[in-house]
Amino acid sequence: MRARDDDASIDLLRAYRPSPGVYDECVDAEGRPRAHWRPLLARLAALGRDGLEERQRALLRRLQASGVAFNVYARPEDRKAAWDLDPIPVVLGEADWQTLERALVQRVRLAEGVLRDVYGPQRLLRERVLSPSLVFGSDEFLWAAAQWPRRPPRFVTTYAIDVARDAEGRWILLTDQTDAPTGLGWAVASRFALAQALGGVFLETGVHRLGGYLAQLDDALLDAAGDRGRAVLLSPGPADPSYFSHAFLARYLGVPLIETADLTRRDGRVYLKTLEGLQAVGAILRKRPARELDPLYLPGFGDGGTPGLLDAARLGSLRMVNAFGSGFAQHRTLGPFVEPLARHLLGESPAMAEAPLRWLGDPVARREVIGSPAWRIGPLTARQDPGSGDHRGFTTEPDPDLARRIARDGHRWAAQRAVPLATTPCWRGGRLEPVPWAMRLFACVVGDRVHVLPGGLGRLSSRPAALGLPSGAGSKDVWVMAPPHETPVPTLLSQRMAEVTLQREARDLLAGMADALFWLGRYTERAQSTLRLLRAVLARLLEAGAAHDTARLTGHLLAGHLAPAPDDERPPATRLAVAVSHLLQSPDCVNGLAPALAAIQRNATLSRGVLSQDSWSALNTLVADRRWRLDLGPILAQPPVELVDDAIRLLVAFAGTAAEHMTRNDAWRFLDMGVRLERALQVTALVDRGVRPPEDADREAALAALLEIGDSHMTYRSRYAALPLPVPVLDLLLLDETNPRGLLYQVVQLERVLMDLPADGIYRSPAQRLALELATRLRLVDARDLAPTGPGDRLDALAADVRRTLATLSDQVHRAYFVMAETPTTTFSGRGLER
Amino acid sequence: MTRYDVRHRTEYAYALPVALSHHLLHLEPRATAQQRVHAHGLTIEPLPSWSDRRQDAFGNPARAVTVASEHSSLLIEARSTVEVDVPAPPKAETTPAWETIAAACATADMAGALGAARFAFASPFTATDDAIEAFARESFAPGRPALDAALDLNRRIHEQFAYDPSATTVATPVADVLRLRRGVCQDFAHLMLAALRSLGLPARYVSGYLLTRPPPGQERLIGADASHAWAGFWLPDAGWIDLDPTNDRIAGDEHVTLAWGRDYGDVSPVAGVVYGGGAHVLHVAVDVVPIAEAAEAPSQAG
Repeated sequence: MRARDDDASIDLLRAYRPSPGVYDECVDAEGRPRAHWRPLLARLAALGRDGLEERQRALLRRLQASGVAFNVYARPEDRKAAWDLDPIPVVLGEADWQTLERALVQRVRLAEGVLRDVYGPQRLLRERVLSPSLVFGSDEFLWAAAQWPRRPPRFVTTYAIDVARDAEGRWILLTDQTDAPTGLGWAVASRFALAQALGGVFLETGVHRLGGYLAQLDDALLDAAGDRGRAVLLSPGPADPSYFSHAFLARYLGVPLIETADLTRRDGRVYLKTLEGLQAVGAILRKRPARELDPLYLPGFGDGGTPGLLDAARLGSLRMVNAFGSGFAQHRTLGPFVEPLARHLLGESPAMAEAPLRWLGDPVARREVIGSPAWRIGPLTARQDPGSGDHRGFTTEPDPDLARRIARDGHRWAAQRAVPLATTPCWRGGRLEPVPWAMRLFACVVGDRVHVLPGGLGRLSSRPAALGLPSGAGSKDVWVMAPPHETPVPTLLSQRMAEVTLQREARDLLAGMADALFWLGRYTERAQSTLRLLRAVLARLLEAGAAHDTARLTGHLLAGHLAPAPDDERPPATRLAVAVSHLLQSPDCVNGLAPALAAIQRNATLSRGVLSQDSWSALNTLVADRRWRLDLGPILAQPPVELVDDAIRLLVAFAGTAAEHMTRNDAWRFLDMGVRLERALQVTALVDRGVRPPEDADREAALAALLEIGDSHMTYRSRYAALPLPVPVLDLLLLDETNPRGLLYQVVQLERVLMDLPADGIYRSPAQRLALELATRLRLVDARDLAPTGPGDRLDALAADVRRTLATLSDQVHRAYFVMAETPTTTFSGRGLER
Repeated sequence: MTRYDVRHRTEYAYALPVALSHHLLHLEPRATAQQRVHAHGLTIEPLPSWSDRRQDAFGNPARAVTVASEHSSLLIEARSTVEVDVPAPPKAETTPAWETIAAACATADMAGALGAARFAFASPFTATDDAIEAFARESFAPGRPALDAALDLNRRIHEQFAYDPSATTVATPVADVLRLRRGVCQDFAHLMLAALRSLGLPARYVSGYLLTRPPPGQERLIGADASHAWAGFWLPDAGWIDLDPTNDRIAGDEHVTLAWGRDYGDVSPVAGVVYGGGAHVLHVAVDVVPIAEAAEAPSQAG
């Protein structure tokens, strides 16, 4: 067998040439494959080049389906840098793994020891192991966490470390994360995607599974929550580069993914705001930086946060994982002191070498690094996420004032030197190439035991050396070879599936998610309505040219969607072109596509957990369409007809999957309510304007356009078989209870949905009453009375009534269900004003 | 030795109803070697649904309160009776050269220096820069006795800066205060702290009150006082000396201490976060009334 393995590997590695003198994961200095790579290489070789190419494409599809690329960067323009996973994993042997594991365990114990001391008795300061300025001058030392009568039982429950193998083959610690380690979700998602794409290759190779670790993390979280309440995962939100990772982890662990606005402290405890009321929270798996958690105790760090959260943590009713203040133990602060700290606290010497790091509170270090091009200087507080850009915080060009600043408050600064990286094979252009790499490893603590994820988040570098975890050149799954006798641990997912109890309707929809679904409904409907209008306009333009009567007619309808532009002297065709591009691309146009798409992206991301894969993928495709951002040029020369058609199709697909695939639960109700409310408003506005065409316009054409945009011309034709007349059109679009595009249908549906929502007491809520009253008023209207006569006529009054009532209804829904999702504001009492 | 009744009333009127509010109060005077607290009481309307008193990280009494019922105004009134007795400060010329204090705080190798070092570094409201350091160095010539230099800085702030409540807000950075040369006591205290800390010297923000005297022949106006702020400066042996740059004085028996911290952010008398509320109107009234020794009546506070 060995001989065959070798033969196959040699074939794959024929043209593989690592740089001389640089350690390579896969082959030794003579170019021979290392023993722990052979099983994988043999199976990859058996796939052949085409097989591997096919696996790579499958991998890409898996990643796209998982949504991993959707939010790596919040801005759609940056999507090109989306998650890019290489089909060849990095393989680590047992000896390497033991070294790494030992180092992680030591660092976790060290960090815990330091934190218990600095937030408590401060012996390290009194015994001069640490300088006062390193602690008291650090932004990571949080005074609000100091001197609590009861310290948290554990500071560091989760931990991440960034390590590289240097060019000589030694493991080197680059940096670490002790406050809110992130990236585990990515590591697990990458493993899922790669295992699925490689199939048998993965199953036969004998790799440590990740499920066991995740079960430990789950235990750690349940342990932290105790019987005090439920466990949640707190994310900074969809704008955070790591949002996907948070969402994936939350799903996997089966805990709600929340933001600070979903939490509230009422008494000495923190609660989750759900539609059914408040639910006590016992533990928070925290991915939001400590300094942005509580505006009552840490004001001035931007919006958001849960005021008073810290009171619950201090009183012990809530455990944060990691505890508030843990960021102080990060390597960038403590790195230069690891040797004395390890000796002092653990009686050990450091288990792993570190990237050269100097603390600039030390005058000797300042002299060493200032002016030396090998060192990069940066603040101690800089944060680093995988995929967030290279080595944030470390300047490459020292500014001229830096030397003076550092002489004054060097204790806030550190200098680091890049570590030359080992290489690992990557599949590029149909062959293996050596690429520099580093990885993030994860650990969690249950009881007194430190568990290490047997795998990691590998990152590729476009440069031969790195200061921290590289980004921008793609990711790697990391395979740790398991001893052959090990039995695979069942993953959490399968355990969870076995435990599921039958339940028709989960009534713990988060208020914040209900809010997001409501607005997702409103904006998808608004976008659809604007697009239908645009389609009608563009069709007439193409048919008849801009100067024609019908174009002026649709221009009149379009104008209803825009702020009035008085005294516009430009020719109608120009005005029309400007209006179309404004609706398509201006970020400031209320009914425009740009704000609608941004809102759809945000709210879809927030409600990802309750949307079906198909609903999600329709919106994903819609928002990601590059054509939205293309320069449209002269509209009339190249009307964006296809773009508009495609977008309508996707929105209809979204509406269809929501209607057909979503359970009729509260999540669906809020989505539907948003759709109904918006459609009612849009159709009313459209009719009010459309039945009053300009003086000289063709009335029948105007009504026909109205029916088309209102998506009701088929119904009209089948019912009346005649040219459009005002009264039947008004009846069909406003008063016909059976027309699913008409006004009354929306109001009736709204009332029905509202009746199914949780409410207090036996009487109708204000919102329910408003909907019922409006439906009744509309049912009593005779369409013949609505024939337009001029400003202030009955139709006008009706449109105003609908607008007013629905606005009030929207407010009532907001007050009843979303008001708790609002962001709090900070106030200060007066300043000292004494003379 | 002087005894005072202090009343501090804070009132918020909100344009829209507030569904939930949290406040962090530093309104209870701190007991110190130089200040005894005979009585302290707090009235809050509407009644908080939750309240918790504790010591903060700097040893100040602090209280967190939560009002969880809908309200459109909030009244917080603290009444305290304190007795202040401040010993005479050391002779300025005999204090050690300032550099020895900075060095002691950097290494914590002097009695009390570790405690003082907590206040030796820039904080959110006292960011230092080149201009602030240069401003400090005008007073802190090499080798100059520490208190002598600090008093010079205290005097220069008083002389060179205009008292002007309209020039700054609660969020004005101290660098702007230095440029504008105007502000209120809080700004001057922060500037003093930033200047001292730019040299590595320990200085703490003290929040409190100052007895004001009505012009001769006039009666005290009720509620006309205000909260006050100044800077504590640490000296070996002597400990903390409070300097009031707004008035160019060493704080004495007319200064009542509430709390101290690194800056205003640590010890703001009333800091809050509210849900809803819209715009709000704030009204603060403070009275510091000396009690004659003879007429030592039971305290009204409660």
